[in-house]
Parts: sequence; structure tokens; C-alpha cells
Amino acid sequence: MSLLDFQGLEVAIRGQTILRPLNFQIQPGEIYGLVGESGSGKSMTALAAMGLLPNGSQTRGKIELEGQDLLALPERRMRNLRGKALGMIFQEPMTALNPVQPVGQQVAETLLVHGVSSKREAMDRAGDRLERVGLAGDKTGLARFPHELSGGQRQRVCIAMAIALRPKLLIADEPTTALDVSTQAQILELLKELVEDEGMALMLITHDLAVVAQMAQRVAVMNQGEIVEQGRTEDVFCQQSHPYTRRLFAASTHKPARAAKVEERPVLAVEGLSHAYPKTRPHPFAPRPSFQAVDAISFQLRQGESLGLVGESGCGKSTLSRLILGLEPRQQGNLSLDDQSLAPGEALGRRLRRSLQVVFQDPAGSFNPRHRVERIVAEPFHLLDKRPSDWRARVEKALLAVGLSAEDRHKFPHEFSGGQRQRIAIARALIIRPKIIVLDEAVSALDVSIRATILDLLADLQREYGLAYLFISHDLSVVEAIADRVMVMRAGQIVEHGPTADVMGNPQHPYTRALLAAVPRIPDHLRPPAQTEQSS
Amino acid sequence: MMPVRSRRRQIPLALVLGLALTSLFVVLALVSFIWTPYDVTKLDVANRMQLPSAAHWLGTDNIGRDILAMIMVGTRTSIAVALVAVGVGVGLGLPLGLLAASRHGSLLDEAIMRSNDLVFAFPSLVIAILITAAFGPSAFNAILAIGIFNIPVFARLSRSAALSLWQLDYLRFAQTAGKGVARISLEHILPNILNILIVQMTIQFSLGILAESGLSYIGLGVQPPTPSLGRMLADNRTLTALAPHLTLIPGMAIVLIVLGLNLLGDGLRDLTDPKLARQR
Repeated sequence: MSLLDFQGLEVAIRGQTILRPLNFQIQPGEIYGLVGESGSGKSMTALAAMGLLPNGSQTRGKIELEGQDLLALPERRMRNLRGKALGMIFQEPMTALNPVQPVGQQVAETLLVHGVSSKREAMDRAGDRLERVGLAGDKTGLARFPHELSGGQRQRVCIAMAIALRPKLLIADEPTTALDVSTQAQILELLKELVEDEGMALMLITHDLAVVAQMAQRVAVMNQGEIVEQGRTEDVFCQQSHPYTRRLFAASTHKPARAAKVEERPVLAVEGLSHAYPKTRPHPFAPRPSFQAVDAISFQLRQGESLGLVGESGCGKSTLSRLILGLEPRQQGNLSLDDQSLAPGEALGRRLRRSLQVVFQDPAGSFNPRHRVERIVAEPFHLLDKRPSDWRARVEKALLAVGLSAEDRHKFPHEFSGGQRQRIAIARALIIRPKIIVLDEAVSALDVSIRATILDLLADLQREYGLAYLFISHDLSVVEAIADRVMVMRAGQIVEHGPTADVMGNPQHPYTRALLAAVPRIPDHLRPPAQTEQSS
Repeated sequence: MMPVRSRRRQIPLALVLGLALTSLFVVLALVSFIWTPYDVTKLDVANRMQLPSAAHWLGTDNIGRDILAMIMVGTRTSIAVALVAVGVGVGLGLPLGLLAASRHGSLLDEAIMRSNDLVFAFPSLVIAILITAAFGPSAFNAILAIGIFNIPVFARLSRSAALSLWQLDYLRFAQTAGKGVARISLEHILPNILNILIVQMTIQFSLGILAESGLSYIGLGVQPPTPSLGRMLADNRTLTALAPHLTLIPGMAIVLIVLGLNLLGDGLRDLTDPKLARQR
């Protein structure tokens, strides 16, 4: 008998179908991958199994855990199963933990709720569990608060909580999406180990095909509330019998066709750029210590070129982009933009800003929700002495250039999808014809298929307008796809710098090597023969 | 062309009740400008302390003044005082808060917020007594006292709301578009914090009415012969056993205005809270 059996599960919320009949089984001790893009219903599937569907949802069908129908259980019995038989971890480990409680207590609480008698015993076992996931389980380890831990450590605490009672099934909903690649590799390794040692099953929900390829024995591909294809990982990956699966695979390894005309003339040059943030004094009379966020960085960006800047969180890449954009005063180092050199502290004037625009990561936070697209896209006209009289026509043209329609200018940002919003952001950056666009994690929040179309769009625009891109990302595969040259940043310094193929193919610095090794990749034996050719 | 709004908005019950009560008193106050049943300064000792009747709908007080007329004019006084006081609070507090947020972490930010703390440290009534002790009791000084108390409320609120907005990318983009701090505050921040400001305004408005009544009650507010709800309570408090309606009616009026405004504030918050709106 299988461990968890979805028998024709259907979910509707207020009459809107979220999940069409789902049929799949998870066997004891296996890792089952659930892959799909956002809105495909993969998280809803997990929540249905946990009995945590939002209020007002109607279900049909069965979810059987060892022959027991979970949907028919009353909330009281379900609560008993949660944690005991079913554990779950979420994407964002910061919000999954209570910020005002030590982590030891939070793990112990799970045990106490489920019948461990004494507080002392619970704490002891919490210590054990924390050690199991690779954290300190002694007194000081138990007494730490979530804010004292890194993102990866917090996710470990969440895992410790989820496995505290040795559940039969662990559901992991995008467990590594919010983490850096090297941390992601460690967490995935830990999950794999736990499955082997504790004999539990893992339902791994992710949008990342490479992660599934490395982890899962069997996989289901979801699209719009439906499983379009399922089976053994090798079979699904190699055969790709459903068109959606093929599209998903193509998109995730997509490289835009680029014919960049890189000219020798640098449009942006940075020399010896440094920036330090003050930290709090250890005691009132101590000299104020500082944190060197950006440490003597120099580089040039040439016209028509794409320069990738890769690094993990906290490496200083955001500070660097803020310094270049003039959002932060430069403490040290020269910036020359468009052949005009600026000394430290010298602000970018309106004239210089015209050649420099930016696209940010978060498609939701990028726009004033109360402004219409027309007003949003026209904002950079503020940099001109006077708003041009044909500004409406130019807004229309910019929208058309990024693949939106002219009618869209009357809409509000919330009426668009994530990918469309990123198109609006690009239109806004294009409107005054800059020479450089800083793309600060511009495609990181997008689904793979949308990411592929945005990368194509960026490549087209580059060709057409001779733009130079500074492409900042934590995602090496994206940088690999679009950049001519790559800089690898770590602790405020550029540790390696060179043409993309060289850096990716033959990394010199140990950090670059470690970073590349941590990136999950679809192994060659899991690729269909035809596709291997296409992508190279 | 208007955007299509598919989301149907449910109107909270609190909002309806609050709006009804508030508008009742606002209408009473407005009508008092052109008509009151009797002249509020007219004494009619022969008909003193009458119970509600056809001639005097809410009765008369200890020197024969018509209570309905006094309530109408008293409400007008209270609303006027509270309105100006909230205006003072928003007018000074909002710019200070926005300024502090835009210079987050600077000395100026510290200076503004710490002086706000200083004002906040004194209860409003104590400040009012301080001011009236120094300058003498008058409506103007009551407004000043309540207004000063409102400044830190709005400064703090607008600062904290603006701070979270400053983290957002569209403000960074506006900066790269060469816009200055003042312009960004007006164009991008103010419209997005307006809803919480309006909610706070209704709540401060009700507190202002309460404060005005309190000040008048202890004789530091509006001076006779201008009627005030607080002073009506004070004047008749020794007669409570003899004629309870003399204190009951102005007391109820205060309770109902404050209740109405609080319900209105609650309802507005429910209506504008994006978290609640998303659930709907």
C-alpha cells in the first residue's frame, strides 16, 4: 500500500476550480517531486494533504494516508496527525519561525503539543533534533533566536521542527527558493540524508527542474491545477511526452539568440569604488566599527555589452548597484559615465542620469499602485528639462516595443501578471533611451517560461538600441545565458572576472568553482538526446 | 476610461453605523448656524428644569435655557475645536513625519522623533492645563493644547508608514528619475498613506471632542456664554439627583459622537486595509 494516495482530488475555492482531479501516490521512503510554475496548484496540493486549505474551499475525492481518508477526518484528529505523521516546511524560513521565541523552545513545543510529558525531556529531544539537522543542540544553541541565525540555519530549524516526531511524510514547499545556491546545496543534501536515515518519504515541491532531477525518484509535472505528466524521473525527463513538459524544459535551458555589437568605447567605468557602512559601537566610547560592503571595485562596461555580476546574498552587489545608480553617495572611487568622470561624493546630475536606468526584481513593488501605466512609464521624462509634447506617443511606442499593447497605458499595475509588469518596468527604463540599463535581479522572481521571453526581449532591445546591460543576479544560469562577461563577487570584492565561457567553463578562483559546483544542473543522462544538442 | 473593478466591496456595518451617527451630529451642528429652537443665551427662569415636552423637546436647564439648542451649539463648538486641532496635528505632524522618514537615521530624524517623544510624555490634559494656566482659558487655547497633542501622533504614524514605503523599488526608481525627496514624498508616499491617515484622523477627531469636553468640564475650555457639552455636564452635576436629564442628555451626546467617530474610523480601516481587502 502506498503511503499517501491522492484519489481524484479536486479543490475549488468559491466556485473557481483550483485543482482538477489529481491522481498520484507517494510510496514510503521515496522522494516525490512536484514541479510546476506559479499558479499550477502545487502548493494547494500540499495544503490539501495537510488539511490547511483556505476557508471556503470545497474538496472532492480522497487523500488517503495509509488507507485513512484525510479529507474526511475531523479537525481535531487532523491536528493530531499534523506534525506527528505529516511534517511540512515552507519557502520563507524567517516568517515560519516565531521571532520572539528561542529556537529550542519552538522545536520543543512541537513535541509538547504531541504528548511528550515533561518540558525537560522535550528540550533534550529538541537538542537532539537540532544536532541532527546540523545545528548546535547544547544550551546556547537551544537559546538562540531566529534573527541570530542565517537563512540556511533557519531553514534547518524549520526542518528540525518538522521532523521532531519522525513523521512518515515530509512535505517541503520550495524549501530552497529563498536561499543562496551553496546553502541550497547543503539543505538539499540534508533532506536527502534524512529521507535515507529516518525512512520517511519526502514530497518536494519546486519550480526548479534541476533540483527535482537531483533529488526525486519520481516526479509529477503540474500545469493549471492538473498533473500533465508523471512517472519515474528518468522517464519524464528523457521522454517528455506531454507538450507542456517539453515547453517547460526548453524554457529552463533557454538561451536568447544574441548578436551583440560590442563597441570598444566604455559607457560606464568604475575605478576603486569602496563603500563602508557604520556598525553599532560595542560600547559607548569605542571607535565606531564599519562593514566594508564594497571593497575597491573597478570595471568597465562597453556600449552594447552585457556584463553579469554574480554573487550570493550579502556579497555587496546591491550596494554596488545603489552606488552606480547614485542612490547612495560614493565614499571612495571614481565613476565615469558617458565619458564624464565624477569624483567621490559628486552626485549624478540630471543630464548624466538620462543615460542610466534600472529594472528591479520585484514586479509588485516596482510601481506606485495608485498610478496608471501611462504615468509610471513616463516618470523618467522628469530627467528632461521639459516633458516632450509627444510623450503619450512615446509611452505608446515603448509599450509596443516591450510587447504590450497601447491600450495598456490606461490600466493600473495590479491588472497585469508578473511577467507583464516586468515588461512595464523595462518600458519605463527604455523611455528616455538610456545607454545603460542596470538589471538588478530583473528576472529572478519570474517563472522559467516568462523568464525566457523576458530574456529574449532584453536581447532584442539590446540589438535594436545598442544598450549596455549590467546584469546583477544570484542565479548563475541566467547570467550564463545573457552575459558576454561575468564578474563574480564575494565579500565586497570581485574575485574573478572574464568572458562568460571562460569563467563558467574554466573557473580559476576556488570560490567560483564552489559556486558553480553548488548550482543544481540536470544531469546529462536525464536529458533527451535531441535537447542536449539544442541547448549547446 | 475607468479601470474595471471586478472585486465587489462589502461595506462594513461599523462604517454604516458610524457614518449615520456622525452625520446626525454634523447635521445638528450645521443647522445650528441658521436655526435653533430657542436662543441659547435667552434665560427663562420661569420654565427652568423642565422635562422634555412639546415646547422644549429635550427640556430646559437650571436657568431655563433650551437643552436642544444648547446641544446643537455645543456640538458645533466641539466639532469646530476638534477639527481645527486635528488640522493642526496633521498640518505639522505629517510634514515632520515625512521629513523624518526621508532622512531616516540622520540627526534630523532623531531630533524630530525625540522632541515628539517629549510632547508625548505629557498627557494632553496636563499640557492643556499648562497652556491655560499660562495664557488663560479660551477656545483658542483649548485648540492649541489639543492640537499640540495631535502633532506627535501624526508625525509618528506618517513616519512609520513612509519608512516602509521607502524600501520599495518604485521610490528608488523615482530617485533614479532625478526626483527630489519632497517631490517623491508628495507624489508617491502621501497618496499611499492617505488611507491610514484618514482613519487616524477620525480617531483623533473623536479624542479631540472628548478632550474639549473634558477641558470645558474643568472650566479651561470654551467660556460662557458659548455653550459646550462639557460645561453643560459641569453646570448641572449638582442637580443630577433632582433632574437627571440635565446631565444625561449632554453626556449621551458626547458618548454618541465619540462612538460614532470611533465606529467610522474602525469601518474605514476595515474598508481600506489591503490585507483585509485581499481576503475578500
